[in-house]
Amino acid sequence: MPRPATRITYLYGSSAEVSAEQMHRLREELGLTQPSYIQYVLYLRQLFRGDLGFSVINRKPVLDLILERIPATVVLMSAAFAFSVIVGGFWGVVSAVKARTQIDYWVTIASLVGYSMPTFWLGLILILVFSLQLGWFPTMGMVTLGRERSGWSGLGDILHHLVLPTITLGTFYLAIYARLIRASMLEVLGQEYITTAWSKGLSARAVHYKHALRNAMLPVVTIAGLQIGFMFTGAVLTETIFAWPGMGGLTYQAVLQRDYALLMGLFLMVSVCVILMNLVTDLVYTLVDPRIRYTPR
Amino acid sequence: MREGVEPARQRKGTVWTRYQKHRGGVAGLLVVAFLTGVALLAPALAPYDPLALGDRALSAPSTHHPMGTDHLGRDILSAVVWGLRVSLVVGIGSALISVVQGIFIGGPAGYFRGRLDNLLMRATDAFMVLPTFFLILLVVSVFGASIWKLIALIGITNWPPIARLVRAEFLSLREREFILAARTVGAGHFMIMFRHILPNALPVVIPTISLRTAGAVITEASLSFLGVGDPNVVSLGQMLMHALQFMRMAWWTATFPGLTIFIIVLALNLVGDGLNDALNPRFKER
Repeated sequence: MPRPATRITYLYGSSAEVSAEQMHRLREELGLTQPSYIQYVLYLRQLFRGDLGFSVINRKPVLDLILERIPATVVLMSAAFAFSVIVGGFWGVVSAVKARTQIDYWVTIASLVGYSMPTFWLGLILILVFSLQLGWFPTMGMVTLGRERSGWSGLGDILHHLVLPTITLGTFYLAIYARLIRASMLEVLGQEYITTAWSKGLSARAVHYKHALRNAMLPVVTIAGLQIGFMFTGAVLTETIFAWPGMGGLTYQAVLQRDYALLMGLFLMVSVCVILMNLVTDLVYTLVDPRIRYTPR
Repeated sequence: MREGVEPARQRKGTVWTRYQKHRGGVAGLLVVAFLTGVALLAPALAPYDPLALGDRALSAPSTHHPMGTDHLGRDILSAVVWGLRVSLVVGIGSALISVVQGIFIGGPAGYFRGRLDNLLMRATDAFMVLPTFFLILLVVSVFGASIWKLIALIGITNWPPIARLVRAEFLSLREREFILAARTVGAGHFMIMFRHILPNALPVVIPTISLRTAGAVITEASLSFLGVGDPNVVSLGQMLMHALQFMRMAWWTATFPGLTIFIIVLALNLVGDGLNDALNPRFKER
């Protein structure tokens, strides 16, 4: 990627008839004539007022641009998260319960394949097979353009569009959770309270899912909290491939347009989300494992 | 404690024997060896110049072009061979940076404990929650990318998990008797850390090199896929970026470069798992 000489040259782009004087006026308008540390202080001052700056290229405040993209990303990431936890958790439990059998062997291989698969390539292959070849799912977007519907059929339309992006984004995490749950289930299943549960005559399902899985979830919660930030990475790639109208797609657009104010704003938002998610993770611990309590010292 | 009484040679033997039992690890090692060979011999193996424009754009795989050609008529096989080279260079280079950094940050933290440990580990935590990919994206889109910049950036943003691992090892090893012995004969801190503790911590570090390389290969490919990779080299991610537009009529443009990335990463992950099982048998719970 060629390095843009300055933001200004990019703004004017190919419209060559720009005098040096006009250039200079624009630089002054954007505050680019000041030294960088002053620019930085000014940026910080703006931030404290809740202003993320103005995207000159999109002619809109950065905050507005980001806010209107948040819902789509939340939908996609929640779907991918639910998909990976539920399916990954199930695989993990099955392969731990059936440890050292054919099933375990294939689940292990499948999860290895899953977490070695580059997100974006998986997306491309899914489009190639399920959209272009079989025609089962749409290739891009979140709703069918020109045929916007409301109510249940509108929801159905969104869900239809959501399937492939969810699989694309979720597969990597699915594989990780399956491995993690398998390992921690194996550990938990060997403990004495499980023997107690068996000797009480509980059904296999109750022992595996109620007694063992609940304790085996703890490491998963830790990883899941840490992974949220990385999931944004996956979201950038997934949304780019499927033209999903979320923050990830916006990031890609900002990169292409060299919209630094927007990029900075996105980076800040993502960082804040990650920190919040870490806090949420800590709180979730107490739900999963009531022995953990946060009490003031 | 880790086979501390056995003679060195026998220990080496057992690691290799244990590794051989890990079928996936052996397969991964063979594939990695093959791919490394291809990458090293890229200039000799690639049938065409990967950047030379051809007159037959988007032609399907044939005897002339086993993997077809792209939208500018370039031979995909040649580009894959060269792209493989770039992927591996970036992967290995940045993995080594991460590991060295992890050792230099995690080592002293675990060895000295106390305030230094606190300081270093809080910094590690802070880095750990940073959305590193976004950070790299931001830096690269402002300053432009070259292959060396990518290696450096991917390297210096991925050390935190390694630092934590190394710290934990140093923390437990420093309490061992042989360290007490070393201290008694007057060995300095530096000597103890790097001559005595580090070699014993290596079994934990070595598998992460392979796993980290796999991660870095994906990161590089993702960056190139978004169009912010090094524009002057052929890279697999960049090929996929173009493929996105032409996939509808030419499936091969998307299939082969992606498959190559997948195979590299899968093989490296297998090697990492195999090494982990062979070097740290106590971690194995099967």
